[in-house]
Amino acid sequence: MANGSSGRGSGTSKSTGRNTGKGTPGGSRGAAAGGIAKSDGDTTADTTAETSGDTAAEIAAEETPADPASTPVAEPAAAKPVLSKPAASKSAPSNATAAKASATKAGASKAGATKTGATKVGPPRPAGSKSTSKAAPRSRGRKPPPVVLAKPKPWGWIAAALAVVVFAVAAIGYAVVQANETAALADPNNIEGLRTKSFVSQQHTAANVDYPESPPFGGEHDQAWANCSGTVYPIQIRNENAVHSLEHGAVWITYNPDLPEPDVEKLASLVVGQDFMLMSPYAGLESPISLQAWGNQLVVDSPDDPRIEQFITALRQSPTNTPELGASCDNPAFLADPIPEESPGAPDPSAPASTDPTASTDPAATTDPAATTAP
Amino acid sequence: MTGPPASGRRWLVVVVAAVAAALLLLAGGALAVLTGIGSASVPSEGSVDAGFARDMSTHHRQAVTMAGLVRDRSVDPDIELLAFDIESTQNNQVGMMQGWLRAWDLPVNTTATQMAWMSGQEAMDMTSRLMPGMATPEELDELRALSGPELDVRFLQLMIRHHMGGVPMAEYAVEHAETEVVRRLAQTIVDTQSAEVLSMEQLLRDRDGSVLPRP
Repeated sequence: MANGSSGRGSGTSKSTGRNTGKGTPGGSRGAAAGGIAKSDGDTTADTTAETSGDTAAEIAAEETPADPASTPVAEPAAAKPVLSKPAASKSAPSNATAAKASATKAGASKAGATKTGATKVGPPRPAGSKSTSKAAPRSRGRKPPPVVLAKPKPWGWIAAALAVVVFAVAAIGYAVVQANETAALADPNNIEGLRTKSFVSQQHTAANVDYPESPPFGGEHDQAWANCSGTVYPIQIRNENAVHSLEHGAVWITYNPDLPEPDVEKLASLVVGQDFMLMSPYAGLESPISLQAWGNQLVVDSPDDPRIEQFITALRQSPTNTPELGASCDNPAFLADPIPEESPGAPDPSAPASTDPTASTDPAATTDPAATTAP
Repeated sequence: MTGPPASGRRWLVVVVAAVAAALLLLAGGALAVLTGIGSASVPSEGSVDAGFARDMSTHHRQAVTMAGLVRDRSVDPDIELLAFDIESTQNNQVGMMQGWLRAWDLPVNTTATQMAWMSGQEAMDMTSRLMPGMATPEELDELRALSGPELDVRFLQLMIRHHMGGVPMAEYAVEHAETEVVRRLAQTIVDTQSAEVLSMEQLLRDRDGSVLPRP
């Protein structure tokens, strides 16, 4: 931040304005021309303080040459003060306005380097000639101390500027982080491995639909939605009804019928008592567990996968993803008499599911029947 | 050591630091605006957003009235479910829209001319003073008096027309509303009601009913 702004703008004087300001950085970027921030600009002030500290003397020397264009007389005056005080004092009175400009430059640019310049500058502002005469003597006697003074003062600038910068960065950073964290929870794009698909049709149909996805997560559907107010179905329900629930904003959890009973229980605990959730076994899943929301699907191996809760948080009744926002999950008729999935489109109908237990290992065989009845 | 110069410098340091702080705050504010943090700008009284929220609420509420009536009295499970779907969904959406108006600190209802927010649209039926697709009081009375298959057919006819009347209002809001949340709900209404019109037309054909003229 400091570098960027220092290079950008360091207006040298009131009169010079932007053109000069831009010119100077280019010419004396290394020295980081410490400009006076008053006139110019936005971010100049802080950076000036930071950068100019070390080589104040050089800066002062460089700055003055750069300015000449706008304030011809002032330049020599400013340049001289660094080297010889008397010259400065002379020039100052002669060019009333010019002196002020150069003086302020010198002072602001921390002309810590031009200690004399600074001392002179202060007084001259209010009353021109008198102050200059006084300043001259003072500066003579104080030549040695100025060197000492110059170094500590820049540190004050640096500290002040750093404090401001740190505060600003912390405040802004905190706000940004907070905003991002809040947004992240609702953003399904943060879910690793999420499948998405855009479904145009929300048409109702009484016919069986040949869904390209298994389980389906969007498209045409039956007029009746599967009850989805925290409903755990013991049987594989009909796709066309489940997809309608997704249209209403529900998350549909499906699991392979051979999923061990404890895992089924874990999944059920995410559904029972929760609105806009439904769960059913689904034969022939590519992995043990699959979650569906309208246009979104996530396949996982374990009920402990943290992405499951991520998926539910981001997509259940999502105001940005739900096609029919505000629709209900209640359908008492379907709840009382769920329609089982029997479509020929399904690769593994109920028959393979029932034979699964025998085919699979013993534990699976014992848990499978329980899974269908227990929940 | 040197009184005057030191104090002068300190003064300068304070001034420059203050200016720097002010400028940084400004920069921070600008950054916040650019990134949309804490943006509090809300639609004003004459906005499309406010007009849509009010008029679509009124439009929806009549659908809720008709659907509730039919859900109570129809004996056809398909019609009952359809009526419940419309009733619950649109009631919920009315809640969203009224919630926006309250959050925007705007009156939920006004006496302003309905549909005035849809500039350039021949929206209102000025003789009946009803928004597009709305049923007249006489039609509502008629619906209340019917029963059985006649009730179902009449309900489908009126609700199809009602849905079709609401779609252009929602489409206008999708185009012209300034708030993302308004445009999203409006798009939802366009999609949902367009799809529902088709399925209701099928239900109507199944019951030998004829579709009413477009609103």
